[in-house]
Amino acid sequence: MLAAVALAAAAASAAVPPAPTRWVEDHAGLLSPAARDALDGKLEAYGHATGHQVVVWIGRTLDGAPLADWAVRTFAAWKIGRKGSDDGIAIFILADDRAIDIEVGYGLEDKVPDAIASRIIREVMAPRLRAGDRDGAVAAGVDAVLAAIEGHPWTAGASSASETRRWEGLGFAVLAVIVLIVFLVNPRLALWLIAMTIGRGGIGGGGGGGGFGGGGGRSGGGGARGGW
Amino acid sequence: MQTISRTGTVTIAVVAVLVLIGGSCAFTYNKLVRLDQNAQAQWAQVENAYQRRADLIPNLVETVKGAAAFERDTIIAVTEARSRVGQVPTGREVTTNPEAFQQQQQAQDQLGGALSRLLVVAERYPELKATQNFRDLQAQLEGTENRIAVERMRYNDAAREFDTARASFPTSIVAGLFGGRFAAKQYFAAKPGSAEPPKVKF
Repeated sequence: MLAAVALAAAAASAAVPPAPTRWVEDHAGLLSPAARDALDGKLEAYGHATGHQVVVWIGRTLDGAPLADWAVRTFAAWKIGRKGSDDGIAIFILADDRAIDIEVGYGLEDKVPDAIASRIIREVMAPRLRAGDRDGAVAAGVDAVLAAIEGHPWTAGASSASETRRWEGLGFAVLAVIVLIVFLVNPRLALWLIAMTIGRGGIGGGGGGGGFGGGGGRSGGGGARGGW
Repeated sequence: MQTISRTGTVTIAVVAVLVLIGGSCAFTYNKLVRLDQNAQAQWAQVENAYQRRADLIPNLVETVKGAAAFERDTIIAVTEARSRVGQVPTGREVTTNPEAFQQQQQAQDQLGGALSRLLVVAERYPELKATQNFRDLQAQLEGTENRIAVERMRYNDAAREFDTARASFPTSIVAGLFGGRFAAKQYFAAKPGSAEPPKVKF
């Protein structure tokens, strides 16, 4: 059915929650802390590696206010994604309402069109949530979204933990090639570089200091809504 | 000697005032142009969203025809509504012409209504609902309806900003000087009964 989003300001408009400070915020206790932190780390690494901002926000309920309208306003207020590229995606989950809304920024609409966002909700997340596997549902949903952005195939059953490892592996591989080239030119410089890198505790991970901050991206209401 | 210098001072003062007024007019004119361009750009977004919806319809009609051939009336209603949408005026002029604006809004709302009815009818055909193609189309149509609502809302905001600036003093003087160039823009009116959105069940 076509959802008619009210044009006139509805009396019961849900308030926009404060902008998130982490990549994954769970205000409903849907995820276990370990799963939440793992997901947060993955999305942060992805954000640093590619610049695309994928955010997960879990709340309890909107008290009957229209979901699509709230999600659009919230995305616009948080400005997820980089200004100019508009490459942000927000996955909203309302635990008590049993509703999921994926909002896609203008820049990623060709990679994650409405049909794919809808399939991710219906085929990847909803079945797992119905079965009670909450951590798995959100993790699988995030993996599917990342795979869609990167143009990799994804299926309802797959859930790859190898995504994050790939980014870090790539970073190390590039570093190794650079060190090798430098070594061939000036061995002492290469050894100095290696010493610096090991001393700082590695480059691929990024040090865990950065929180999330909206980049000025916009969305036009693309994405999908669903429930379980 | 004294008379000449006083005339000189007055002349300078008059010139200074004229320059100030001229500069202020230019500033105001540019502001109106900027707000007008903003509203026009947002209008283009609205028409994009409309076009997106219109483009989805042939595929939808083919998919539904295959499984729900008996629902000819509903299918025909959609096809007719779509062709009517192709006939109403579009483009920049629509934003300032109340009649053209009304016509376009009506045609688009009728198409939205016809699509809604078609999807309701399609729900009664389980084999149709089960096909991936139909589900994808349904998702795309819902997304497009959402986009139309969002772009209309943003257009309304931009049009209101323009109309407010245009009507307020002293900007209204500059607007009046240029006649039709800065005509007031039309708004989307909420459909009666749209304050309570229907509950969508999945």
